[in-house]
Amino acid sequence: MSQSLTKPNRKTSLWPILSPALLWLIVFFVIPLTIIIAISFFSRGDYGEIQLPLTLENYKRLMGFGLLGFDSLYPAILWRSLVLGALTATVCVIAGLPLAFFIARLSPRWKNFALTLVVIPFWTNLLIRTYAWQILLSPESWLSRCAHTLTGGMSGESLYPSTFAVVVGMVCDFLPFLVLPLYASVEKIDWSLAEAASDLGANKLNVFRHAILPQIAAGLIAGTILVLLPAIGQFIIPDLLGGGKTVMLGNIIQQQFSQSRDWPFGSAICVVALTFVIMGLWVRAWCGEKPKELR
Amino acid sequence: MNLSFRRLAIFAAILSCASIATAASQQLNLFIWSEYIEPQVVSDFEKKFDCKVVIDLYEDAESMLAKIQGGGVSLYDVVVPPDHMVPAMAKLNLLAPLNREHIPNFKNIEQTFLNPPYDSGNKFTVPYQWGTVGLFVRSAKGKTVPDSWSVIFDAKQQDGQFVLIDSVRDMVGAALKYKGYSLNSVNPKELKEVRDLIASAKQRSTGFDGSVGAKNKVMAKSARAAIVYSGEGVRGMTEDKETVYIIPKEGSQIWVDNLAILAQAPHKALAEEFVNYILDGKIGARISSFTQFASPNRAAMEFIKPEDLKNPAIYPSPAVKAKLEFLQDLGPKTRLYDEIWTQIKAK
Repeated sequence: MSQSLTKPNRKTSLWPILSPALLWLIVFFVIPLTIIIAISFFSRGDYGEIQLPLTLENYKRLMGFGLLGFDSLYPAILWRSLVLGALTATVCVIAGLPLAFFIARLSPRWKNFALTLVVIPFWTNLLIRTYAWQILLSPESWLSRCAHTLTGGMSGESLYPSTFAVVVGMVCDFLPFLVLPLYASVEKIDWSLAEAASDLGANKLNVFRHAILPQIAAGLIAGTILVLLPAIGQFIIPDLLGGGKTVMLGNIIQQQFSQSRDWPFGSAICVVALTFVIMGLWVRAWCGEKPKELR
Repeated sequence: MNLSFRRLAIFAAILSCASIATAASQQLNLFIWSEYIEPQVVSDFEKKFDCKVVIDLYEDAESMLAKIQGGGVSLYDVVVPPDHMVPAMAKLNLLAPLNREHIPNFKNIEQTFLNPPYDSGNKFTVPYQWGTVGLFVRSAKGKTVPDSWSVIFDAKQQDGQFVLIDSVRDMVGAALKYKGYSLNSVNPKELKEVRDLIASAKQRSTGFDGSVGAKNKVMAKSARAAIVYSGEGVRGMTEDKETVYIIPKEGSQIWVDNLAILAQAPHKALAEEFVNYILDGKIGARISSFTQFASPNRAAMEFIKPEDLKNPAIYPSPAVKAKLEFLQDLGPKTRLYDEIWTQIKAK
């Protein structure tokens, strides 16, 4: 593909340009990460020191085998974080797909305007947006009353604090991360392929499946991962919109480094969270190659 | 090469200027519980010693220790740890031995507070204030408030919202006392039992908060009951006659907070002056009058209002005192508490 054009043999001359970024990554990413991985295999001293012997106990504890016998609490929190993350990503895809197609079809002027609208929420701090949802979803708000009327007063639960509120908050926060990469691939769609498919007798669903989806797959996967991974680690939104009683991965990590003074266990949770990230990126790399083969 | 050397030289010059600047204006970094010292006492100290006092706050002992361990040992000068934290901090080499010669007001300390079990010979600490843990409750008209932890732990006794205390030993201790166990239990069965008890109370509560925050929630009527330290309870009672501070009949915790200088304190000499200043009788009385905690300072007694000295919520009677228990440093078993605390928070 076009990659070969941008790959002249100039690797050595790039070093001066790359070195600041490289240095930054080594000092603030590679070294701290190595330390975290190392700490996760150490033991916690009686007073929170990080000490030998090396052990797998932190990981066992995360799997549920704690000091007080088996407890499914940590696996449950892991699972809850994954489910809430996946749910957020799914809702984002359902909402983001039509939006990306809609924006791509606009005239250039309106396109820029629409894209600005997508990004505008970022101008407000995440905390403020989350607090705004607290007010919007509070039991006395018009939104809650509408929901109450629509469901015929069936739902006994208020809109906030609830898991519903957490998902709403996360979808609003992460939607732009999905829409922007998705829009980039939707814009580049070669519509003649869709026309050809349709001329060859494919129905609408098949046109989408075979002629359009492979073209936007890279953007869709990139966007989904950009939503899924931070959503799994999110802890401010579950804390504020879930009423502080729905604990996610991020919340336990924070507690280990403060009140519990258990850096090895906290690091082990970080490493497990990181494994999910790497797995996600690996899936992306794996899926990202497929469309090329199809072409 | 030449250029970078010049840059280095300039950089070094700037650095040395900065260090001269800090040396000229003395500064004391104080790490203390919130609302625990009269602001006027601090500004008087600043005037007397021509220095600046920078105050950083904490709401629970474990977070304090976490911050000291995470670099605070060379950032702060004076810290105010509770009794049960002192052995751990001493073992971790976080505290500097006190030089008694620079602290002449040491003689003011009440006999019973000298040479405590958590710091034999007062090697590292001097007592600052003491108090109890109890319930702060708004009494509904015509109803008597039960003097029992059941206000929190018995679902049937619940009458309105309540706040739990965001401090592991205080919270678990309250539940242990309700069940009739020792505050210092390391029995896994008992700890599991109170873990489930607190977890179920959490579901019925408005969540966790520090003593000061919890008191404010009762004052603002967003909660009816809270677990607080005696000082917050007594201050609340004075402001709002509908509220009351109770030491539950099942027993509770008595504690002593201490002044200590950190091992790598950047301003040790000033820190010693500060400790000596606090132990002055008049200053001690002013602090206790402000915090409404009890004073361990013999010289302060004559300056404290007689009604405070007679207030059983501040200075409990011998009969009540007999039901109170000190927390102890549990050494390796502290992990059990950290484990159930993480589980309680996560449930």
